[in-house]
Amino acid sequence: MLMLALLLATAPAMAAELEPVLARILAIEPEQVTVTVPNADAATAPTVLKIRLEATTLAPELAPGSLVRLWPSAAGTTAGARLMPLERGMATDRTGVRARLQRGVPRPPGGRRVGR
Amino acid sequence: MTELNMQAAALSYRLFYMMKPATYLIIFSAFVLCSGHHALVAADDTFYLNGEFSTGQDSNPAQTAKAHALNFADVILNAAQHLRLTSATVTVGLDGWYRDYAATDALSRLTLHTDWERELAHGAGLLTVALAAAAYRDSLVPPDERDELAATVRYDHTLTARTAVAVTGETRQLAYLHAAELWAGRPGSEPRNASEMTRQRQPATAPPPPPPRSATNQQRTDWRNSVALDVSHHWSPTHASVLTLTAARNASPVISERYAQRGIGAEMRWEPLAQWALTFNLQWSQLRYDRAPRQQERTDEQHAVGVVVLRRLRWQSRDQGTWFCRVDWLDSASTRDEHSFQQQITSCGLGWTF
Repeated sequence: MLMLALLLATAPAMAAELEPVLARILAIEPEQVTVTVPNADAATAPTVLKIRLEATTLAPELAPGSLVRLWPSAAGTTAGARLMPLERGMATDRTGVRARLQRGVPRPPGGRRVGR
Repeated sequence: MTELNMQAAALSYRLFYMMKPATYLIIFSAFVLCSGHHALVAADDTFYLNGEFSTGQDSNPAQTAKAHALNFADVILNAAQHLRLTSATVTVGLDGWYRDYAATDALSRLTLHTDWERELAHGAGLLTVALAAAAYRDSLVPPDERDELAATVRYDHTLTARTAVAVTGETRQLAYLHAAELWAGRPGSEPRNASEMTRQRQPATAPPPPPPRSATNQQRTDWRNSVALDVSHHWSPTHASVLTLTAARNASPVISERYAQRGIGAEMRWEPLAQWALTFNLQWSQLRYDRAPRQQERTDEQHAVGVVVLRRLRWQSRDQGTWFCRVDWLDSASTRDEHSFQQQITSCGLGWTF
């Protein structure tokens, strides 16, 4: 109920957001990140974007070749856009929350700290 | 002198069994790396090192009906080498976790793992095959000490830029270090496996010696098979939720430790301010010990709630560090009262990626 209430309470802000797209990192420089975004028309070459980093930060595990979720801002895809990891596979746990929660209960149901 | 020799022999025995699963994985890791050597010439490899320190209080570290709170300090170190091959990524990693409780109790876990990942469906899918070997040591409840070997297959599929699903299947061998005394199953008698007997003691006292071997004792090796389904949705750049369904079955030579488990969990992440994040999670799980003799059958229902507040720390345009505080509550209600317990863990700490 608490989680649902939180979602509803912040819904107006969420509705104003733009639609995210999947992008792949080409290069990471000190002040910007270059990504490619595939076009809906597969025959057309992917769009190359340069995301400035003054308004966002990068998760430490992101590297050239990584697939990311690109959230455009109201100002467009380059200024204020956010790049977020997809959090998939065994090793990806950007916030570390899942791992900590698992460790937080030393003897979880039945398995008693089963899993890594 | 004889006692010294016996202690040395016992230490050698422990080291041998502690190293055994890790040795298997080292051999496998070397095989993986050697077999992919031709592709490594042009590989882009990265090294990842993460450390974390936290301290807090555990209201019931032994998870017994009579709780005794203990303060603790956690140290976590994760190291991983990613090798990006032409069509896949191989990761070899070492994870260490050490929890030092007040008094003389401590828990530790050392895991060596190898993950092989390959993108499918033009990048939308990610197939992961992972092998892991772990050594778990527990001076609080010595009968829980064990070595583990696990094989995991996971498939992640990004349906849209907002929604993704993941299916995970795992089989895990749990080789307990101390022999378990098998319960004979006489009507009206009490369970007599070593784990249950040890849980009745006070957790803050000095750890007792491992249960003695006898003709009726038997090495205990469990096999736990599990499947899980994750569905995640990103509502906005600052809101995300994950729904998880799980099912597992544990096969054990100790009849009273055989169980079937099912569970559901939900997690919501919210970033109300830049660099700040809040995570709420709820879990429900049911364990049915349905293979035990009628007198020992029981069903446990567990409800867990967790709240985490974290602040990411920026260093040179990267989120290199995390400051966090968290509270986890667990209520485990059993049809047999002596197995019911509550637990609350509160801790704060700092993590850093090097």
